[in-house]
Amino acid sequence: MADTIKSSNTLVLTSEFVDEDTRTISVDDPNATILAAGASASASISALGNFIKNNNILIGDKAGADFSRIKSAKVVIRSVTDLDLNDREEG
Amino acid sequence: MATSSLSVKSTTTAGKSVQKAVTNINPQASAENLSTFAQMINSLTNHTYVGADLIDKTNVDTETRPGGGSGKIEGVITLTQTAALGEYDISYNGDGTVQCLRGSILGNKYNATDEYDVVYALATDNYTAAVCFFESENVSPAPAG
Repeated sequence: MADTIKSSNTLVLTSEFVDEDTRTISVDDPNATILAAGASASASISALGNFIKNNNILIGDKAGADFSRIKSAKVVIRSVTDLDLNDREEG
Repeated sequence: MATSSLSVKSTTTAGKSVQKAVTNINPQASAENLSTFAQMINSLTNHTYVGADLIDKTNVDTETRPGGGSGKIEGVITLTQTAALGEYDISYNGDGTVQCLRGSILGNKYNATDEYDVVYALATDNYTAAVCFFESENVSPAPAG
């Protein structure tokens, strides 16, 4: 048995409000379109930002703090290693 | 400022059910737009969309919800003293029911049992309950004995 390495991806969208407050939306298991960074990926996130803005879906903590834009989008790749303890000799 | 959360429900490619909470949701947004938003979020993933629930986060102790729509407290309660001691006619033009802490309400009559009481309207909608109140001052207590 060897150590087992598992990886998982999270798409982190930082939304910004008119008072410059920000909130993050974390989306686990993003699809291949998002992971293959390019025009198609930014288009779907841009469409999401426009929909949120046009329909006032997200609001901030303060009165009148409406959603302004999706400020940034990042894919965070997490790697978790399960150590195989049977490989270690006991003292 | 009241905000809500949206729980986006989906299943993974392995068939596991997952829920994703999105905070800072405008509670006034329409169900149709929230559904579209939830599906747009889900479309960024490999998951199969199941549905979405709005979870209210309004603090009913400290917040009121101004504006139109069903179930929101926006009426005015008026008490008019009648000829009978401690008895008031109630008029209320909002949603919900009028209740009181100490006295009794029968029909549109309110009978005070204390010098100060709180008469309030209680209304509920899909998201929240809220109260409004005022003090009925200068009520003559019922004579003893």
